[in-house]
Amino acid sequence: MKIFITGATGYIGHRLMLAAVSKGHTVHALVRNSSSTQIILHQNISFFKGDITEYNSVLAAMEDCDAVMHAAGITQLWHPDRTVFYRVNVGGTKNILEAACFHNVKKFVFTSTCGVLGPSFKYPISEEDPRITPFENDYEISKHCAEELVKEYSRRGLFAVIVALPRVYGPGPLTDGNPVSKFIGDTIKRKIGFIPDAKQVVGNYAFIDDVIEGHFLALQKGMGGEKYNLGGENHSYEELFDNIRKASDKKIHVVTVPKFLFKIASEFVYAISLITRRHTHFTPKIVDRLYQDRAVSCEKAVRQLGYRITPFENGIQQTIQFLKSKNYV
Amino acid sequence: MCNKYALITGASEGLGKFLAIECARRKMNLVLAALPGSGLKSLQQYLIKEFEIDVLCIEVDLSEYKNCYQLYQHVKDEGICISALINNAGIGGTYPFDDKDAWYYSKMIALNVATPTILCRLFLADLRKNAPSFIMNVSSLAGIFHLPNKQVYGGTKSYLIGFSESLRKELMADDISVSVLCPGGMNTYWQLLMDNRIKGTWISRQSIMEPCKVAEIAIRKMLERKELIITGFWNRCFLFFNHLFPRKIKNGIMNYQMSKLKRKETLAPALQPHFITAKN
Repeated sequence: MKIFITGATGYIGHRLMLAAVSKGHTVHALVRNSSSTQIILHQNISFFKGDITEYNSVLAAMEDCDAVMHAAGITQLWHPDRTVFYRVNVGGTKNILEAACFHNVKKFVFTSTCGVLGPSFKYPISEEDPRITPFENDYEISKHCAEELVKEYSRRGLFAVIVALPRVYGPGPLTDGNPVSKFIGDTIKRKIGFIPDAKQVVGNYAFIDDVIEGHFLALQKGMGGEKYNLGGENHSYEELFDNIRKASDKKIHVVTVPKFLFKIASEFVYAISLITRRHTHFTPKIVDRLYQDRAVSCEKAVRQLGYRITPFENGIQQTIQFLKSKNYV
Repeated sequence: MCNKYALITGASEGLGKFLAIECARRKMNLVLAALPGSGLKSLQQYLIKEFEIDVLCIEVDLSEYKNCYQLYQHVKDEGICISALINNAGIGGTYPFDDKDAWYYSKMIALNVATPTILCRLFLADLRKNAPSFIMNVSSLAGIFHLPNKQVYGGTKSYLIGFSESLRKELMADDISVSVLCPGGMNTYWQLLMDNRIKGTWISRQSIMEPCKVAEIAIRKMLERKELIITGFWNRCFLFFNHLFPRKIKNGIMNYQMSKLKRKETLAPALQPHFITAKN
């Protein structure tokens, strides 16, 4: 199969590209920067210089492809210019959908985020649950809009599947798309970790290998117009640290920081980034997110796709081994 | 004595869905009515699981006169006591008067005017019996501010305000509180949500709210027995100025806002999907 992949220099897209060729597929990858270190020489990978916001570059690169995996997007939660989220995440997705219709692509897999579903309450949140709290940032709104756009094209006959990812961790470059692994590495290196004073707050942590495999399962077995959560196990911050300690064999001091200190610090950072127009990961709204339960249910993917979840302990071990092999820790 | 239920019409999408969630949070049992095939079942399952309440859902087209009776009969057959009636179902939109045909407007008037009236009448005896009880009719700010391109919609919503305020005085003695909700614009559809983030005037951005926020305020104020519920600080300010300013100035501001919106629209064409037909 010939697969068109976007976001091939990002964390997910890059791994998708490698997995595709190892499964015997041919890849057309769209890249903005032709000198990126993520570009590798392979007989079955063709790189096309382009941008998802430019329709003609997408159209040209997708020629002759049977399937599309759209993993490109702005993954930050905050950006000084909020329209960039809509231009890239919604406008870009529309260009790819249009091109897919034009080239009569057979299958379309769109990589989205569990953030669209919002925080969880009593039960882990699943694909069909309604979001009962307002959206908190333009990233989530733009991904929600993009998902709705994909569903609209699906209703008109394009075979499109949506996969939603929670916090992804695992071996791979420590880019914006891989903050959990960077956090694990930094914690081990500094032997100290700062966590919110709500140790019981639960998040979902997905291992990269599972997520990549899940994309291909969605490509093979996914039903058109459906959405699948490709997550991992639900764990609290406390359990995350316990696992890091166990797997790294190092003494790590955990410092719990009260919410108001986090808030003050983030207000300060936010003010500076507003003045300098620089990007930051640390805004007051992102701090609020750290205090919300975000448990996710992957039951639908397990049942319908045969999705498999690597045990958390095992995944953390592999991540730390990778970080050690790269001399990061 | 039977368990008390709240009936919400048009509960599958938009504001209705969030009104249902707000009631569920307060542990009220629910009867939800919405069009067939609008995803009511999955909402029902979610509410039962997450909030441990009893939820009955009825798929029915309420723009048909006889279906209102059917809904009433169905509720009676189940032996359910309604102690809150929330008339939320409605059709809206913004378009020039000659864009739609007469049939469309008669449908709109049936659903926005006749249906809430009929349901209030049918459930009146039950509401009396189960007092203290509540009626909330969902109107709109468009029922107060008569905006261009919202002629029929604004008119039907004005009716609901007049109807509710009159009925409230009548039913006071029976311990039935009648409220009328006037929300401004809401982000009930993804395209609106996005448009409001990237365009729109300052006033329109202030007025637009998230449906879950509106629902939270609405249910709280309904239970506090408020008469007219206006959601949002800025919307209340606009209403205050509306009473203050002479007609001439108000019309001037409105025309200015409308022309500004139109100008912005031509500058940034909406992200309407224009589907290229796939080669078959």
